[in-house]
Parts: sequence; structure tokens; C-alpha cells
Amino acid sequence: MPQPTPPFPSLPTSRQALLNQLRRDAIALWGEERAVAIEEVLEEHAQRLVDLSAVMPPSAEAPTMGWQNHP
Amino acid sequence: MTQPHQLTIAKAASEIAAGRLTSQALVKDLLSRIDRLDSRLQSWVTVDDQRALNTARSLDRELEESGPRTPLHGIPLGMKDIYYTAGLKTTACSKILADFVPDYDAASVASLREAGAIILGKTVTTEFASGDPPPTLNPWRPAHTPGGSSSGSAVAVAARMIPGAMGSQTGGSILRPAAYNGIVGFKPTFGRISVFGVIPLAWSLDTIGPMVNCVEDAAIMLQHLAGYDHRDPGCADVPTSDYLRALGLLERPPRIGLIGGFFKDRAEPEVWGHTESVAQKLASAGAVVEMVMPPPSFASAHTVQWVVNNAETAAYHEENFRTRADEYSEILRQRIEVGILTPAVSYIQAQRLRRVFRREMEELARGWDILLTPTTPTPAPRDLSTTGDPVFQSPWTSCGLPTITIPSGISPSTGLPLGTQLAAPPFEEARLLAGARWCEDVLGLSLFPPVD
Repeated sequence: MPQPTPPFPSLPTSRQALLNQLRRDAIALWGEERAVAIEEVLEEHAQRLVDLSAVMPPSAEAPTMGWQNHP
Repeated sequence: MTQPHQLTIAKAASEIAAGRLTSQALVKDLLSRIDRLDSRLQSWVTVDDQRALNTARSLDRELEESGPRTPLHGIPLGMKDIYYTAGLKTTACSKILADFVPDYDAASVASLREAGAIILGKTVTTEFASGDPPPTLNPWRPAHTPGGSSSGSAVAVAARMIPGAMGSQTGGSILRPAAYNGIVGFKPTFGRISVFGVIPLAWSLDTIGPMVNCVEDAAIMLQHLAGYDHRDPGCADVPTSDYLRALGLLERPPRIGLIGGFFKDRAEPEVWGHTESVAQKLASAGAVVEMVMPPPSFASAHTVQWVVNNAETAAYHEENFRTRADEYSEILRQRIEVGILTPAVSYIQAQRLRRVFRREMEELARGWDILLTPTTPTPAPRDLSTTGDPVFQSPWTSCGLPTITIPSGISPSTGLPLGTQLAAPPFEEARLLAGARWCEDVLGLSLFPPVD
């Protein structure tokens, strides 16, 4: 049974490094065959995560699940 | 002569209230239409015919004795198969919940029943309201997707098997199938209607709303759905309005912001041309229409939506997924997998960016009575392996502003319906519905798919 890799200490910032990390985690969690089967969505996910890391929210911005009480 | 199934909710309500139509006759006519059409269109998962007829009988008696409860008195409705319905199977069209029978109603189902509506049955959803294509067929062109995830609700309403049905939208799941099938789909502000008792896809995005054949029907249904519910942590404690009355209160033609930029660039030329011609018709009828641009934060809206949606989907399904991953269909399974692989930091950054996006979109919306875009970049694609592209609807779900699609034409190249999407500031549903009703009147269009 493959074991999950430990969480990475900081996010890789290049698409390729992120994709490699996602592949390693997918193999550890679900095996190589499944990781290969979902390669396309892993690639999209890596791109999305890189795009996201390129846009930093303002430092005062807090996260919230809803917003109706804090318009 | 108009058959009962051809009536909108508003017209059926007035016939019922005047004693010219019984709820039993309406239910029977709809059941016979379902019988005739649905083996082909496959929009219903469960039809609760006996209970619906019994309820209709009892509501007819009540009407004779004490008059109608509301305009929904005796009106049959369909519920997407993610709404809890006491004693009636709620499967989310999944193997995981194939035999699940809730013992209570979703808050929205209870509110509709209390208003006198009859739950005729459960409509097809894509599995857990995600992206795997449903068996449901588009009644305009069966080789084209009906859209999703509220596929069954859209098709059942379009084919007049039911005058109204409930859908849900986490990306584009109310407005897209509504537009693909030529009906009205309405997504209120996030938090306006309780989602208590609705199977979640992504808690911070899930919004429920009606799918109907005219704007007035959307107002009638919202009247009985809107309001605070402490059992839903995302539900907003914000006063509701008299939505039906608001339809007639527009003092002048609306000021409309036609959003260009991304929407213009991503729409097929035919669709953008259609949107410009809609804007032109509205302007000719007195509306002030000006082109506006999406705010800077729009650039990351789809990425933010992707990250939040997948991470929350994974969180909801994690427990079942550990032991039953093989029972999920492929698209949903992949979304859960990438959700599991989403770093917590990315999810939190996405939620922070969403707040910036919401503020900027609200600011844009406050400058106009309503905003206008095409509902979808193309008509329903000729591809049954997809439910279509949510790229024009999902930003609105992410920022939580209310939107509505109204049918606005037929694509000359495909013969399929085209929709126009309208939006307003948060909790300004009354303004949105009034503006949509005005546009609907100007466009003067009601579409019927060729199913008869």
C-alpha cells in the first residue's frame, strides 16, 4: 500500500515543480496507474495553482466562507 | 385551446384561484405528458404520482373551503435530486446514495409545500451536481448537451412537463442549462435562500434557485423561498422584499451595463452579435445601454473558483471516497482527487481573493440598474461527453451576486436557444427581477422545443 508523502514545507512556485509534486502525491495516494490516468487534470491543477500564487491578496484581506455579514 | 401543461405558474395560479382549473386536472395533465415524453428525454429520476394526486385532491378541497394559500396553491413543482424530500428517494443520481431516503424535507422543499406547492417528483442531476454528463436529452436537439448540473429541471420545464423546478448552481448549473433549453433560470444572491437539506457540492458556492418559463414565475417562487434560516450557516439575515409587487414598480427603462472584455472575447461571434442585437433592442425601447469592463480581479476569478470548488467538493466526499472511490464517475472523481491535492494555503488565498472580487463586482453592479452579458459563450454544444462551459456563469456564483437568464433568441446556425444573463448587486433581487421582466417584455419571446 503506497504511503502518502509528508506535506511539503512550502509551495513550489514553478508549474513544473508543482506538477512533479502533484504527481508524486497522486502516486502515493492512489498508485501510479491512477496518477497517469489523471495526468491531464493534474496539469490543469498545477497551472491553476501557479496562476493563483501569482496573485497575492491585500495583506488586510481575511478569508471567509460567507460574506453576508461583512459586505 | 390552452392545455394545462402549457400554462406558466402565474397563469395556472389564476386559473386555479378562479375555479377554472383544479390542481388534480393539472397534475394529471403533467403526469400524462411525462408519460409521453420522458422515456425519451429522461429528465425525471422519480415521479411521485400517487402522493402528488392525493395532495392535489386535498389542496382542491382546501381551496373550495378557504381559498388559495398563495399563488403556488396546487402548483406542481420538480425538485433536483439533491434536495431532501421526506419519504422520497434522494440519490443525487449517484451510486453512493442510490437507496437514500431522507426523513425530512430540505428547508426550501418545506417552504414550497407550506405555500401550497405539490412536489411532483425529483429531476435528474449530474452525479452530485458535478460535471459528469447525465442521460437527459436536450429537447431542441438530442445530439446536443442539455447542460448541467440541473439538467432534468431545465428539460422538464422546457418541455412543459412541469411549470417550475428547483436547480442549484455551484459553477453555472442553473443558468447554463436554462439557456441551453430556452427557459428562465434564476440564481439569487449567495445566502438568500437556505440550502439546509440540499446535498452540497461546495458549501461556500452552492446557491439554489428556480427554473421556470417566465420572470414572473421566478418572482412567485422566490417569494416563498427567500429568508433567513439559522440551520444554514451561509444563509443571510437580510430583509426580503415583495418580489412579485416589485415587478411592476420599475419607474423608467433600466440603465444597463453591457459587460465586454472577457465576455466579448470568449463568446462565439454569433453569440456576441446576438447579445449586441439584444442590447440594441433594449436601447430602442428606452434603456440606457453602455459598454463596461470587468474589474481587475476578474482575471483570477476562474482560477479562484476552480480551487475553492474542488477543495470543498473533496472535503464533502472525503469519507466516502476513502472506501468507495470506484463508485464515483470519472469527472467528479478527478475533481475530488485534485481537491485532495490542493494545499490549504492555496484554498485560503483563493477565498481571500474572492472577497476582493466580490467587492469589485458589487462596485461595478452598483453603477447600473442591471448588468448584461451573454449567458453562455455558445449555444448547447453538440457533444454529449460534456455539460458545456460554465465560464460565463461561474464568476457570478463565485462573487455571489444574483443573476438570471432569459431566453433571447434562436441561434441561426444551430436552431438552438440563446440566453441573455442579467445581474444586480447583492440582495437586490427585486431590482434584478424587475429589470429582467422589462427586458422579457421588450424581447417578447417564449420558446417551445419541438417535442410534440
